[in-house]
Amino acid sequence: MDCFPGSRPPGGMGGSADLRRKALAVHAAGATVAPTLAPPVAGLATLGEDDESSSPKADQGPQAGSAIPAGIFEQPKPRGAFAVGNWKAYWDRREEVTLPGRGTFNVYSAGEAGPVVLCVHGGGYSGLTWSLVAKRLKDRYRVLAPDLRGHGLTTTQDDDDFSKQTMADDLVALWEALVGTPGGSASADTPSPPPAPAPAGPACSPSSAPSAPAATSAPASQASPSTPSTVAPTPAGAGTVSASPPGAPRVPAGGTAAAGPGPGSGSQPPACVLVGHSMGGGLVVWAALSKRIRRLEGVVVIDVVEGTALAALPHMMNVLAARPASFASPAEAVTWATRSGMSRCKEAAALSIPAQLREQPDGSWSWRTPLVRSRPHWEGWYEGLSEAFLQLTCPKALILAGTDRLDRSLTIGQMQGKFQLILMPTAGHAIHEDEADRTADHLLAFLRRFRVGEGPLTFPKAPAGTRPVLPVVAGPVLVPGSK
Amino acid sequence: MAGEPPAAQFADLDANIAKLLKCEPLAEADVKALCEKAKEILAEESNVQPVRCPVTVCGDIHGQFNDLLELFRIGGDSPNTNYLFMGDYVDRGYHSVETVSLLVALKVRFRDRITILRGNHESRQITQVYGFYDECLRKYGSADVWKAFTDLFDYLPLTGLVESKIFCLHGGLSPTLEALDHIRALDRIQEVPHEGPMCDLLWSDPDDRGGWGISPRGAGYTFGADISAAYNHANGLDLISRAHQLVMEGYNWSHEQAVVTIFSAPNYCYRCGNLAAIMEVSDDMSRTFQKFEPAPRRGEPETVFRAGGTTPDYFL
Repeated sequence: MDCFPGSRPPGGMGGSADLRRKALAVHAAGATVAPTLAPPVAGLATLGEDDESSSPKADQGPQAGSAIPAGIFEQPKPRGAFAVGNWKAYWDRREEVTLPGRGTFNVYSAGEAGPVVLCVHGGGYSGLTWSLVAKRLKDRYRVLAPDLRGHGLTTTQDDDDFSKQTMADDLVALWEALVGTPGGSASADTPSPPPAPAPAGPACSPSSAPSAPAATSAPASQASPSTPSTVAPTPAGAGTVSASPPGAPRVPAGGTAAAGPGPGSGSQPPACVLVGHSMGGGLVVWAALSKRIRRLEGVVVIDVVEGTALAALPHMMNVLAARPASFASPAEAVTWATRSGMSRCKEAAALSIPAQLREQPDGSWSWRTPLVRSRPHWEGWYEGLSEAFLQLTCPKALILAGTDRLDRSLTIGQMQGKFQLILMPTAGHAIHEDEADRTADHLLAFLRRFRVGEGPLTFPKAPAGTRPVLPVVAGPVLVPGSK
Repeated sequence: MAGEPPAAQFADLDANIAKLLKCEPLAEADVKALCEKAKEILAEESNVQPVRCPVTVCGDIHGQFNDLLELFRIGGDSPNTNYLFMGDYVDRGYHSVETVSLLVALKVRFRDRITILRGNHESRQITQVYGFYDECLRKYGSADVWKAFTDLFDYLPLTGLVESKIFCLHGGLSPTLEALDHIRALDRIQEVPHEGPMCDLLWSDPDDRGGWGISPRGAGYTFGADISAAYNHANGLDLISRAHQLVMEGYNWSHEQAVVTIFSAPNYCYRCGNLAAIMEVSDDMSRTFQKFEPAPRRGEPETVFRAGGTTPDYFL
């Protein structure tokens, strides 16, 4: 994009022939540039209001070296090659997290260290919707993607309680169990969890969950007195975590306990960024607003805006009714999703769609999540969302498929510079599935720019040697020396 | 006016300006010729372009052409009133093509009477997602006009300086540019970079907090009252005048009147309900603000979301 990549001597004061010569040279050079410019190089810092090329990209395929070869457009694969993806090619492990009084949540995780990126899927999806993005982030960040209540492999005590409050509390409780406690974060350091039952039972903080913690299979009554909590009201361990690395048999829920509270646990939890799509975008805002997630250093919301979401809700029952009720196989569902335009990336659909299904006794596959039953809660997810988003004090980004989706509050907020708006107009609603690489690029740029998990920025300085000079206006306006 | 060629030389241009004032886009060939001529003129201008008073300083327009005409009704016609526009002529509104065509035509016709600075939307990357690119495609059937304009945008000056006292720019200050001479030394003829001093000038915002901060926008910085005061003192300035941020009253003082924000797109995006404003700087450098409301609409939607089913069909 830079027409003058080489270093150039400073100069070019206004009106000089030098500037003009340069200017004309640029023009001549620019004439050979194709009218539609290449999109920005991956990994570059991107502008706040974003910079997408409007031409669809054809390279949404997987990275070289992944289980699925790149270049799907050049090399047609045999039919069914993308039918059903394998999550193990994208994630390091799958964990079962038992939260007292809530249920057992299935959480995919990728990456061992670094700040936590907690990714929250939309209604009907599952944690696997983030597979392609997680693979790009896991080298530097610890990506966690739960299946929400009523979704995926998660089982809760009330799978139909889709209320904003319950689901946002689920997220906070998951954060406390996985990140906010020394035991939780320790599990990230041990890819193979110790099979021996940990002596210390998971603690249940009185302040961690507003609902009364009911007794579950996990021993939840014993708070761990040895956990030196630094911040007074913060909870200690709040759940049971069991992990199953890829290839390992699935551990029954609650079968093994999490690693006990380790030494040196008086430190702060790792920095955390919440990323939510659609319904999950609403939930991360509500969870962030609770202020119970410590060291929250960013919130990213993908393709949901209060005004447009509320306007679309009346049509949603028809949209749901228009979906096929069941499929002969997960592969058939993937085919349907890509042909119907619901998904624009086969690789992502092959992971995301099967996880949205559940096999029925008759051998057919139908939708895992009874979205119709979430109807009473839809307005609650979104009402007040724009103002709540703007209220958050941490760095914020909103990734949308088009500017038309901004409502009044967010248009004003964006135009006042209150958050970063990223537009990806060539994607569908599931932006992070349709254009996973570019979404990951934007997330990486966001994490880097706002120094998530890092110290404060040392601001760049003016180059030494250039002395401030009082300006002199052109023309005889002021008498020189009069000032 | 002295120094300007005789009016007969501009007969075609005057006809084009008359056409634009009726909100009719120019022919593609005329746009290209106009951009070539404007490049020659803008290439002569400084990164810190000197401007004489009296002058009327304006903020973001964003393709709201009817509101630009309203601005001229309030502030006086060009060239009878001198104007300084602080960028963001295109994107978001429905008439980016006519808006930027008119301002560039006026610049070519009355180069000493109007100054047009660069905003962060005068960029190839931004215009591809915020509407100008699509509008050019729609109105001309190809991206050639978009290319002609965005190539021209590289030449727009970054800042203007009214009588050495009022420093005008689109965004704000940069930690790497302590003196005006630092800005004069920039090589501006390029696409707006992702970061660095040129990017900061077009993206930064003043902030209530002191010192420098990372801008929540994702580009540029925030700067506090201490930074503004030091900058004005070091450069002998009275005021930093900038645009870039929507302010509900059209203009807004900050940093103990060291900085003023001017926003000239009323009811921004046809949905925000804000007033617009312009700042008139008189012969004696006194400053008057004129606020105005949206012009009555002809052929533009009054409010909110664009018709035509762009509402997403899935929102769970």
